[in-house]
Amino acid sequence: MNALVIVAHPNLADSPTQQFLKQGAKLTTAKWHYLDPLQEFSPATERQLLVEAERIILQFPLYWYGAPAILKKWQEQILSTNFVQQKLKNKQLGIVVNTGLPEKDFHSGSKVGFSVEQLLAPYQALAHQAHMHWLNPLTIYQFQYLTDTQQMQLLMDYQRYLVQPYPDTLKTRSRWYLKKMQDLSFRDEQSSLIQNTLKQTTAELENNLSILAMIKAGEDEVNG
Amino acid sequence: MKLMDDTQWLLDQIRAQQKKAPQYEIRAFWQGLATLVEQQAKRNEQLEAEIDGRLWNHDQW
Repeated sequence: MNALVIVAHPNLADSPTQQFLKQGAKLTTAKWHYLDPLQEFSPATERQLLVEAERIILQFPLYWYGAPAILKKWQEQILSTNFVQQKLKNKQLGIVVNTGLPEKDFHSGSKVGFSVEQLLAPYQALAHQAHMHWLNPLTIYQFQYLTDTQQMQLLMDYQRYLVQPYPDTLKTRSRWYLKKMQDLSFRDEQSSLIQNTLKQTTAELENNLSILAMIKAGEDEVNG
Repeated sequence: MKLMDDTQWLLDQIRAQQKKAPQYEIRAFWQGLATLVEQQAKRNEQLEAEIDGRLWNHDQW
């Protein structure tokens, strides 16, 4: 998967969340592209990066219900109607967003009053206009309060979000972990045992899914 | 019952590997894998129950 992560943050070095995610991105084949507020964009270079990517991820902290100004500036300078419709068609668009408020605040009737997905509607509209596949956003609520276990889980969920095939089903997730385990090339016996058992449980899952699909197809024929 | 025992055994093996791993990203890998194993076990159990339910033909009861 040729993924491009476009990172918008006014001060990357000061953000523990972004530094953590940067380490996660390094464990994948995704290309990390920071929008440096001190530099001017080269539209040709930026557009080339977009054209080469199969999956485009916009990554930013939520500031006043939207992205930092640098991302809006980038959008206005780089994107045009013709470009997005002609060159971004059929690519995937995903968002990694982190918030300073907890998840419970992002619901109707709560402090913010809107879900994160509602706030991200302009990006979904961009994907819609460009005929891109919209990926369910990855939202990180209050990174600083995550436990060690939750952070480790996030590191894996983030890697999958960048490069795992779409859509994110248990089947694609299982295959991704099997591939990742293969790539990590553990040499010890216990790991091989785990790997073999995982292959079996994944095969069992795929088998159960096909049997159920066959039964449902049979029922449709009888009912139809 | 067997499925649950197998899952628990697999989770125990994964946790043991996680404790031994010196690198953070490898410990994270085992953490993610444990979550996946739990999700697979739950889904397999649901699927098997659904298959049983659908295969039971009440007309032949």
